[in-house]
Amino acid sequence: MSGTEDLRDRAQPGEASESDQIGTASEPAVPAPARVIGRVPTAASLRRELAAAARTLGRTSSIEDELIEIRDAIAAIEVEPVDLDAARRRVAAASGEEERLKERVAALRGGVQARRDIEAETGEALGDLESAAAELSAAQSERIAAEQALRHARERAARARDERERRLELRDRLRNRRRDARRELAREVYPTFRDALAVVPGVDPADADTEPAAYEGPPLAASLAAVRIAELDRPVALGTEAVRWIVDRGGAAPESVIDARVVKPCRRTQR
Amino acid sequence: MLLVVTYSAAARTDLRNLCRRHEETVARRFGRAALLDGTVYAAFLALRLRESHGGDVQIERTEPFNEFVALDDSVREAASAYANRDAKSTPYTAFAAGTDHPDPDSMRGDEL
Repeated sequence: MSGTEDLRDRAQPGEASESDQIGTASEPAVPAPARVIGRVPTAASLRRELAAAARTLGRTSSIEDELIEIRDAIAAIEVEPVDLDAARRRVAAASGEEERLKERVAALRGGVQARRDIEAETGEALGDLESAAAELSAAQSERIAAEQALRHARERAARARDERERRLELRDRLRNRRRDARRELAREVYPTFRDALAVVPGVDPADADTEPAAYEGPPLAASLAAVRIAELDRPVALGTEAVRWIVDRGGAAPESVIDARVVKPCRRTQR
Repeated sequence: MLLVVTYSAAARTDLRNLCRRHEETVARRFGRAALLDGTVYAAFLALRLRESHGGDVQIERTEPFNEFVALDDSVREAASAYANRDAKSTPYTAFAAGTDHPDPDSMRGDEL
């Protein structure tokens, strides 16, 4: 296995978001074949196409049980949502209020002192100072309570992150093992695929060599051959590009090339 | 500085892109985490990431560690003495027993 081959199979658009979906709903351990090859162009690598085709033929990889096991482990993880945002906001508000009242108390104290210095009446100023001091004391209690609440929320968030971390590790593992499974399945059906290429226009079966990594023909032709060897129970959506590929190169009926019923892709569901 | 840690593949990918696009803001990159510099702009980038990915993004503020400010002499001295001990197989608890070196449990209980 060469490094470039690995990259080609790995660098799929949307891979990240796809792997975040795993286990969130009732997502299967491997994607349904129709989702990969139910439409041409497929936007999938050759190995993905071949593995999907292999699965329609009833083949499963030797690590299928492990894939299901990992998927179930991911689905069993529950991450408690923790609202750190509100807790942080409360601390910020309480600290701000405390600062504001500290300044007010200091100013009122200065005012009382100034009145004393000129021997003016201090009764009202003292009353203001006392009530501001009481407010400050309440604000301090609130700030301490807010900090404590934030500390507890942070502890809960740290535990939740342990779960998030475990889920990410499992998803990474599932992605790697899925790739292993695809590799195995793709290799198994490769001879059948190569035979099918003979029926697809615009490609020389000699370009296929003996394994998926060595395929050097046009990707579109490979997609058509992968669909041809698959047993899909629904019609395949052939895009204009795919239809033109067939028609421009000899005019065979698209149905006979892919050996399946053909529909036009519905624009709205196109990704 | 700001430590940004991600907990999903999508958040990890976005952090990677952020680091690539804003090299000047990134002090250090780790697998699915990064240390950003202590600017408002770095905080803005980190917040944007958290807005997109919620709980899958953790942002912490770090500060430089100065052992001469944060610690008693005894802790620094114990670290140095233990690193240079003769018997490499002696665990720290045994090494500290009966000496003036601080006890691990008392250090565990002490906030920095």
